[in-house]
Order: sequence, then structure tokens, then C-alpha cells
Amino acid sequence: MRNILKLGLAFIFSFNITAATVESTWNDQYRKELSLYCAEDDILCQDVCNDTLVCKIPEETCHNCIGTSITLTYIFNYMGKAYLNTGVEALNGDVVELLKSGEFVTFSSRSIYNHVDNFNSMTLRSNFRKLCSDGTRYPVVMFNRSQENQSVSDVRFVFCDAGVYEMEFSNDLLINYDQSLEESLY
Amino acid sequence: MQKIFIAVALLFTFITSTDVFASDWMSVDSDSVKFDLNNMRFSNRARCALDSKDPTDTSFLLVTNTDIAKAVYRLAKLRGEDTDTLTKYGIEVFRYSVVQMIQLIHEKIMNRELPLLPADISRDDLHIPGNYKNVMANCRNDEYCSDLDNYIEKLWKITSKNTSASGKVVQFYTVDNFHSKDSYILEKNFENKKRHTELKCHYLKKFSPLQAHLYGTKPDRSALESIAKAALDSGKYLASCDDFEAQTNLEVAAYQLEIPNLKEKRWEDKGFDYWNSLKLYFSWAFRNAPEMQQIASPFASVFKGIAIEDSVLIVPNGCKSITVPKCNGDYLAQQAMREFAKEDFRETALNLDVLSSVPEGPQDDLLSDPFTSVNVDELDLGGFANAEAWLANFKENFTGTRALMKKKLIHAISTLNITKANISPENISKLLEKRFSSLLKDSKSTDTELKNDLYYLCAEYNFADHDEFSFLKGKLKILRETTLIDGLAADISENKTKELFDFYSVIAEKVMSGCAALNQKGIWDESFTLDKTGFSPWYIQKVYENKFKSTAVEKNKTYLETNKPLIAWKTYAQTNKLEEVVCANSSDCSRKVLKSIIDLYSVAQYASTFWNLEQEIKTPALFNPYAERTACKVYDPWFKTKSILFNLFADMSQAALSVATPGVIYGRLDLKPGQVTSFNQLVKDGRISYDTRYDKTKITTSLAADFGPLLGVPCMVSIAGRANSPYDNYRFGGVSVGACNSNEDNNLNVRTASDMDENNNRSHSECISCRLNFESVASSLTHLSSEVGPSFFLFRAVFRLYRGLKDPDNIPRSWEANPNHISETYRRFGEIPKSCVSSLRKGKRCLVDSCEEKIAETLTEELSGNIERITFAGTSGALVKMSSCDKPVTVKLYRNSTSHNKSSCRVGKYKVATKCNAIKRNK
Repeated sequence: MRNILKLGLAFIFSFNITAATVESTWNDQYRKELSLYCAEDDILCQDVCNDTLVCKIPEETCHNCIGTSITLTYIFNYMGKAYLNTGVEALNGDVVELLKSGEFVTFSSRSIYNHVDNFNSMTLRSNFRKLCSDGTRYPVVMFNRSQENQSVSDVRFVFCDAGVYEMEFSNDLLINYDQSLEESLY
Repeated sequence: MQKIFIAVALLFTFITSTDVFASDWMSVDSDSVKFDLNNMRFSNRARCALDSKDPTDTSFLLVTNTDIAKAVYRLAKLRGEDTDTLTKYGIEVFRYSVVQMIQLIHEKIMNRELPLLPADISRDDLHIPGNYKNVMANCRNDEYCSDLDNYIEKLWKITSKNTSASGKVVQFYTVDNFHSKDSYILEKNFENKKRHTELKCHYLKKFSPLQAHLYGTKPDRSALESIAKAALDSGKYLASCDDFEAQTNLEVAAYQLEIPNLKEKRWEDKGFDYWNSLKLYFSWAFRNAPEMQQIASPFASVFKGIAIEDSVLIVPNGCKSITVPKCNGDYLAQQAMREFAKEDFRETALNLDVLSSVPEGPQDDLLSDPFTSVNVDELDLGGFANAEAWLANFKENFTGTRALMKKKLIHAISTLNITKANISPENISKLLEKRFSSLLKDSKSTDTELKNDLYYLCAEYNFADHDEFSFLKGKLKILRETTLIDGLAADISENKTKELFDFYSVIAEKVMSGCAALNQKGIWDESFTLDKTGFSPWYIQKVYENKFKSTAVEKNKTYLETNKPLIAWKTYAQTNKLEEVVCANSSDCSRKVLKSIIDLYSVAQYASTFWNLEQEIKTPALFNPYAERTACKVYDPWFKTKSILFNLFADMSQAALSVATPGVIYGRLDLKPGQVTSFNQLVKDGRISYDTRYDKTKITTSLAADFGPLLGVPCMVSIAGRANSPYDNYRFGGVSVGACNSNEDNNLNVRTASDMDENNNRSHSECISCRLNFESVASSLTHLSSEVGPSFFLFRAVFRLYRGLKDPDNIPRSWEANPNHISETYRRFGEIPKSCVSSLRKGKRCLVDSCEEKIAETLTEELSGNIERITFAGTSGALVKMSSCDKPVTVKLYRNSTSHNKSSCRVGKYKVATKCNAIKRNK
């Protein structure tokens, strides 16, 4: 029942946030913010900032995001491999809720948090671009920011030009079992 | 009116006196001597070991800017700003912020504006604030402690208020039951404000004789001269912390921090609490304190994200410590950082335990090298052109090794999680059976490659998991219980270490039982020649000591030319790159699971070296390898002293015995040098002869009373002189005990004299060697004992004590030297006179007489500038020319003659010319 309701809501709201362009930037005071540029039929900007066209949401710097922590290294090295787009469009309500809470961290190939590769390197661009099938130049991936220690936590959404999608922490693998054993494996 | 009178009187004295004596001091550039330095403490090995238990008042703050520089560079790129300019600016602000925040916290702690957070919450004899104790007791070092953040936040809210220190002290009671004296360095609100305790901060341009205590032990005259010259040219070696022009290296910066004017006893009690508080407050405040908005402007928001504990390191400047040395894995692992400072790190890195595929652990160094050197430029400071180059090398070695460890960890976690999620141990077992089915069915198979592969699998698992022969099995089991890895890698692992280990255990069990059931002689028959190169690199390193290179990767490449990998990243379909392969086949998967577990084990061993598991910066005792040796009781700094005193005691006892029982104890000739036995045993076995006039039991009782429990200690028999005749007897020459320094000696493992362990070289925690010394009667003076009697033994006792106390390394000794006093002496005489060496080594001033010393003490303390000339007129006055004023300062003196033609001197009032009033400190 819950899933049916979720699917129903997804149907109702998903189209609303398809055309917003999202940028993760640093303003003139060197503070991080997430900029949403909405088309006329978008309600995301309206929902988050009460503005129909532009919405700037302050983003707190996450603790230990500047450095070479194991988590950060993994995020940038395994984006597109272990952090995957599920293909499921995110519910507008979920996205709005997270944006309004401020408890999020965003990453892109141009992130200043990337210390594992050059700024906006080919590899990094390619890893991030794999997340969006619509050719989005700079997909923005959103993670939860832990309320407890202000550090990056679970992966949530990816903002592509065509919409916002649920992300998952999984592994994108090829498994080649021997034919003779294939049936006995799970 | 009174001042005028003094001035006139002094002037009159000068004019009328015939006894005018002026001394010109070597002039120096005032900029070069502006750095006021704390005493330098020179320690020998034993003293250094002891010092590790005391808190230091001077340290090096080592800052690496790589992370912040990368972030600001990317920020500039993102915003289209000039990358060079913004990055340089960002680095300057970052360095400034680190130093400023440390100074702010120091100031608050010293002024009772922040309470001390005790370093050791387990002590019952001290007042530990209750809430703080609860918070710390519930904080595990592998989990983030948000309660600590909340606690500090409450304290910081109070300290940030614009109220008096005493008002803050009252408000702190709302947070916890602090003690008005115990919880603060300053015991009262209104202590002498004249005592300056502000943190002195010098930027280190170059290591110099001003850090001579890190290079040598007892400072001689030439060392003192070098210190004097360096102090007089200190601008070449030091700069102000806010002098960014001098800080040319953009990667790293080293600062020398010194806390002046501490009350010695109070500091001994509270020093460790001070450092603990500084570390905890700093980690919190750098990210959260509202003051950071101003200090770190305009980058406060950026700096909030930095893993500050990875960028800042504080190490003691000498043998004393910042953290109480403890004999635990965390502490030992932190000390392993010393290796990264070595000049030849790259050449020797492969031999280091930390980089070994199966490390022994940080405790190994203690046991294999208990008597390492100290204060002989252990960290190769002299090998680099400047301090920045040294720190850059240290940082590069450290971060490079950490990156390797991180890669190892990520790879291991990823391999284990992926394998666990995709193949069950049962299916691995089935796949293995299938892979090796041709060999299982027909042991005469000629598939050498497959035979080799099976051999590798069985051998590697045997090495790690064999119940009887594997030394590794027990170690790996420890991994299952540790939560260290969970703390580090929780965000990237779907499973806890325990679950991953259990997965490995089931595979290991299946592989081991499969290997045991093989027709081994049939498969690996005489015609089979093992290709050893196919073993995994970790196995080759451990078993074959890297005598050849592993070809395991090449073998996998060859396999994949004709086969699909069992598990690979999807990207493998496009790239065909080997790094996209998780494991090639069932045996490769099994071996990689084993390798991953070994890697997790090795990362866990040194996790505290590379990662901050607690919310505080690291403070390893880089310059004192005896900190951990003392904590782990591998080295006892008092041992030699105690043993010398014991020898004295033994000899005295011998003297007493020789009165009561002259020549009573003789050893029989069947004693063999090097034989381990105990004196009691010798007596019991009848190998000790004694004068028949005495009752054996009485003698034993008497000996037991005198020698106490040491009699039970097994000792090596040492025989001086050779008994040529089989009928010669040996005389017992006493027991001597010394610190062991060679594995060939029969070392004993003794915690106390009466508490013995089995002699086990690998697991000892303390080490002494004990000898029963026998002298052959012919070569000893024993037969004279009836004539020389007790006096011989007494003489020997005193002689041995004298000789023992001259031991340069093992008797604790230290010397204090003040660079300001040394340079003062040098300026006064143009050299360091021989007669001054002794005083200067005690940290005292040394000038011509006590009057000059008193004048120097008073004027340099109270006025700025340096003394250029002192002109004495008679006995009651002097004119002192200071570099900071054109007019001389007139000083009134009071001399008192004492015995031995010496006089004491007191400085009375002095007068500074009105136009030079600015030179007075604390106006």
C-alpha cells in the first residue's frame, strides 16, 4: 500500500522538477550554495525559496570534506561505480524536504572537495556524467550531511537536466559464473 | 625629589670616584636578538626516558597546507579568480588562523577563561569534573563523540561572553562541577598579572644550534659558543609567526611554541591537562567557534570543512611529552611517525614494518631495538637545508605512506564486500572444486599451471590459517574483535569487520579442508617443479623475503586473455583493464579474500599512525624514542642507578659477611660460565662451598636476608680468571645486575626481583641481565680477605659506585642552558670563557661578577633592548648603556662582602632618561 502511494506521489510530482538547472557554487563571500534555476513550469524554486525562477540555498561546509579522508576518496574514485543512479525519479517532496533542512552536501566533478584528481579532470567528469543518461554536463550528486558530526553521510539524489533521481550505494558489476554452476548459484 | 637625589648622588659618585671600570659588550643588531627563548634542556638517554613522563613547555607546531591549498586553488578555478594569488592568500590566512586559534585557547586557559580538561580521567586522586568524566568514558575512539562537541560548545559559549574571568569561572559551574583551583592552571582569579605567560611563537626558518638539545647530550664549550652565535644571529633561523614574507614554502610551515614563566610544580601537575585541553578545544573551535569568522576571514566557511587534525601536528621540542606515554597500540602506532622524518626513508621504506605486507606491529621496534639512540639528531634535522625542507620530506613520506595504506584499506574493504555480496562460501567451494576438478579426478594431470595455482592457494591459506604452524592465525583473529576498521570505513562498507572476517573464516575452513583432503603426493609428485614466482607478493615478502618478484598479476593477465573474469566492474567490458577486475577465478577470489583480510590486519596495526581516531590533533613524542620504551618498561631509566646502588649494597653486605663469615662462600669447579642458574639453586645443589664452621642453613638464611629476593633470580655464572687446576675453587664475587644489551646474554624477564617470567625473548617486557660473579681463588684477593677484610669490600663498593655513576648514558643526567644567557656571556667576553661553562650548563647567567649578572637580570627583564656597555663607578653605582636608548641607565648597587673574597650584589633603583621611558616594559 505504501509503495503504491509512493509511486502515485512520484507520478504526481516527478514531472515538476524535471527542468530545473542545478549548480553547486561558492559565492563572493566564499560560502557554498546550491543554485536552482527553474523554468516557468518548475515548482522546485517556488517550493524551496518562494521564488519562481531562481533559488539560492546556503550549503554548510561539511566537516572533514576538505582532505583525503577514506570516505571522500571513495566518493570521487567510485562515483558511477559504487554510487549509482537507480533510474527512479525522486519525489519532489523528498527533495524539497532535504533542501529545506539544509542537511545536505553536494558534489560534482568541479567540487573543491575533490582531492583525488585534478579539478574537473576527464576521469572525474566521465564518472559523474555516467550518472545522467541525458548528457548533463555537470551532474550534481547530493548526500545527506550527518546531524551528529556534520560529515558526509548517505547518498541521496543526482540532479540531471532531465530530472532528479534516487541514488544508491551499490556495486555495478559483471559476474561470470561458470555455466555448469550457474544454476546452483544465487 | 628622591629620584633627583639618587641621580645626583650617582653622578657625584662617578665624578669623584677613581675606581671607574667600563666594559663594552659586543654590539648586535637588535632585530637579531629579539627572540626570547626558553631554556634548552639537554638530556642523556636515561634522563630523556624519565623526561618523557613530564609535560613539555616547548613544542613544534607543524602545519601542512596541501589540503587547504588544493581546496582554495579549486575554489579560484571554479570562480574564475587568479589561482596563484588566491591560493597564496588562502594559505596565509590558514596559517594565521591555526596560530591565532592556538594562541587564543592558550590565553583563555592561562587566564581562567577556560577550564582544564583532565588528560587522565581514571585518576582517583584528582578532581575530575563529573560530566566531563561521563562524556569521555562513553566516547569510544572509533566513533565520533558528539557529546564531547556538545560539552565543549557549552563551555565555549561562556568563554566567548564579554565578562570577567572570575565571572566566567562562576558560570562554568553551570556546565560541570569544576574545582576553583584544580580545574585551572592559574589557581586564583587575582594571581600576579606581571607574570607573562603568553605563548611565544617563532616561525622556524632553519634548524640551528638553537635546537642543539636535539642533536647532542652534554653541551660543551664549543656547543655553547655555537648556541651563542646562533642566538645573536637568530633572525637567520627564526621569524615572527605573523611574518609571512619569511614563510616562503607554500606547502608546509614549522613553528616553535614556548610557554614562559611557568611555576614548575604546578606545571608538573597540570601540564598534561593543559595540552589535552588545548588539543580538544582546538579541534572543536577551529570548526565551530564564532571567533573563527573573524580570524579566518574571508575563508572561515572553507576552513570549516578541513580535516584539521590531518593538517596540524604538535610535537614536543625535546624529551618531555605532550601526551602521557602509554604502552598501548594507539600510542605506539603514533610514535611510528618518527620513521617518516628520516632522510633515507625512501631507500629504507621497504624494510619498515609499517610497509610490510604482514607487519609485526608497532611494538616490534621496541623489542628488537630496546636501546636505541636518542638526542643524536634522530630525525635527521641536520640533513636538510632548512626546516621547511625537513618538514616537506616528513610530510611527503607520511602522506605518501598514508595514501598507500588508504588504498590498501579501500581495496580490501571493497573486495571483501563485493565477494561477500556476490558469492557465498559454499559456491566458492563449488567453483574451486570445478576449477581443480581435472586434478582431483586425475592427479597425474599434466596441467602444470593449474597444479601451481592449487599449490599457491593451499600454501597461502596454510600460512595464514594452519592451526599449529600459522603464527598469523592468532593475529588475524584479533582483527575480528577490533572495531578500528569499522570506525574508519563505516561509510564505505556494508559489513562490519566481524562479518567480513566471518566470511573469510568460512572460506578458509573450506579451502583448508579441501587442501587437506588432496592427494598431495599424487598431484605434486616428483616431476612437479613449483614456479615460486606465482605466489602473491605478500607471501613472497613474508616467506621468501622478496628474493624474487611475484608474477601473480601476469598469470592473471594470461588467464584473462582466454577467460572472462569471475567478478569485474562493468567498465571492464569496455576497457578490458586489469584494475577493473575484482577477481579472475575462484582460486583468485579466495586468495584475494585472504589478502584483503591480511591487509585489513596490517591497516589496523598502524591505523593510529595515519588516521585521527579521536577528535584531537596528534602529538607524538617524535624526538624521544624512549617515551614508549619507558611506558612499556622495555627501558628503565632508573635501572642503572638502582643497580649501582644494589652493587654498593651487595658489596657492603659482602663486607658485613666477611666480618662474620670470612671467605665463607666458595663455588665449586663444575661451574660453567654462561650457565643459567640461581644462587639458591647453587647452594641447594651443593655447588657452593662454605666454611664448615658455619651452619649451612644459617648461612643461607643470612644470605637471603642480605640479598633479599634477588637470590631467587636465575643468574648467569660469570667466572673471572681461569682455574688451572681442577682442584681450584671459585670464590663468589657478588651478584651484579646490568641492563642487557645483547641477545647473546642470558637475559631475564623480571618485573620485580621476586616476580619472574619464563625466559622468553619474544615477549619480555623488561630486560635485565644478572650475573653471579665468581673469581678463581688464585686470581682474586679472596685469600687476603682475612687480612683486608671489610675494608677491601668497602673500597670496592665505593669504587664501583664511582665508576658506575660515570656511565654517560644510563644514569639520568640533564643540563639546562638558556640561549639568552649564553649569548649575553658571549657578547660580554667575546667568547664563552671556560669558567662559565659550568654555570651556563645549569641555566644560569655568567658575567664578570654577581653585580653584572644582577644588572643584566633586572634590566633585560624590565627594559627592552640589549646591554651595550656597563660602566661601574666605585661599588655603589653603574651606568648601563642599552641599545634601545641613547642615554645610559643609572643603576644603584648594594654590595655585601661575604666569605672567600666573594661579594653579593643587589640592584637598587635605576633611572631611565625621560625621553627613553618607552623602553620600559609594563609601563
